[in-house]
Amino acid sequence: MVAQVVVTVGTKKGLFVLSGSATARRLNVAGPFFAGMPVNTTLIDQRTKTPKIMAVPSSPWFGTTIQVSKDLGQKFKPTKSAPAFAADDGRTLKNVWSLAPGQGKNELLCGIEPAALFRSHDGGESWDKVAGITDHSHARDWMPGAGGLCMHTILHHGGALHLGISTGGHYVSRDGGQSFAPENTGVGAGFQPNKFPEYGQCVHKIAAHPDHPNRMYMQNHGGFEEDPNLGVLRSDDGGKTWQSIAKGLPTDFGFPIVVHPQDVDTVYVLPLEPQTRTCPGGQPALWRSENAGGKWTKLTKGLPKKEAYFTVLRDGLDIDGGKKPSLWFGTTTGQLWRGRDGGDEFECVADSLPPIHCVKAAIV
Amino acid sequence: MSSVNASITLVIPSALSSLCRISSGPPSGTLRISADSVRGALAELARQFPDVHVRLCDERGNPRPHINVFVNDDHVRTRAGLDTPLAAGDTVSLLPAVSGG
Repeated sequence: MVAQVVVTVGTKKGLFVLSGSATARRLNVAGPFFAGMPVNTTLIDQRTKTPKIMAVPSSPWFGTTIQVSKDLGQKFKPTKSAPAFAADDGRTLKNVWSLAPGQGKNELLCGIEPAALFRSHDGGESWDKVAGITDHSHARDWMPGAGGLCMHTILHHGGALHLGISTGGHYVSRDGGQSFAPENTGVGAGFQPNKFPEYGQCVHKIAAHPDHPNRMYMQNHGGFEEDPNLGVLRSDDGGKTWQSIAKGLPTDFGFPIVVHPQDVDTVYVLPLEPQTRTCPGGQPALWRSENAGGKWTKLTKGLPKKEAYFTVLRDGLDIDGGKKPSLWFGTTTGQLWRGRDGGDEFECVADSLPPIHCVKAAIV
Repeated sequence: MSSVNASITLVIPSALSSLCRISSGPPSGTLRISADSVRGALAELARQFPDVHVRLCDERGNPRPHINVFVNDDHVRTRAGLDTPLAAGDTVSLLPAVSGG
């Protein structure tokens, strides 16, 4: 049986779902779902026989809903509720930035703006605040970045729950989500007088390979001429300490970072010019390291050679789970690119979508 | 200000009218309710149609930033905001702002 690939593309104007044979040149395109509503995060939840697709449209007019498809994106149905603060909390839900499977069968975790974490035990029908991070004593000190004060990364890894907050830093719970502590040793904040604070870093994305609990990667906010080593980081002790692996990249600024599903030493970033946050020199490239950041290779085959000034946002890059996985990235100019065989050769899968906020890809 | 609830008309956006169904009747974007202020009208909306209220108002009960609230022809910001009193026969309209892009 030929493997099927499903790709969710959240855009400024709704959700698109692409599907078809993993080897096909063309995929079926469904959507837009939730037309006109920005979709900042999706989840392809593979814990069930038929994976569930979840998406979170956030309407500027009508608020946020959690939407679930049990038929791989043919139709969606809203859950009974979305995460919400208590009326007397003072904070209100602005946006949803991340959805992740929890550890129970129907457990889900949801990271929102302003930075807070909610948990559902019933597949997203109801939500409870995770007080250990949402009401952390640091929470009122966190500051919004350009994208807002968002909790964008939720990662169960190495027996711990890792969170990425922009700008707040990397927080970890090692007691099942009861309490959280910042673990940012080596994670810089080039925009502060104290370049290495306890917390307050503008972490852009964190990635890891599930079979290697001590190894993690981070795309942090880089792009500082006086210190070009803040942006791309690696941890070999489960996130406790971090060191730069940016040497060899054109810039350490970027948003997404992903790990190869079969090789913990293979990691991908998409560097952007730090001032404009577009492709350096108008020449887009994905960069791959096959030795955990020791050496980087520029991947450009099939990509535009000049005059391409797009941005790829923090959730705009994913890698599917194929044996020879494809990289998938969406641009703020509405192109969806696929890099087959681990990024060796790219093709434009869709070239005129609305601005793309997030991409998730899975072999199902 | 009178504390007696007035019978008023509440108009919700047509995009949400399918969520408003009274007994066996068809869904409607026009509701007849009793309230003595705009805040009271929203509270009554929350009581009768929580699925609609949550789409139009945040956790604190305030209309979402891109929802405009009118009493008859007046935006409530030109009157007393959510504390604008209501009289019998008034129409409160919750309308999506002209925004986007």
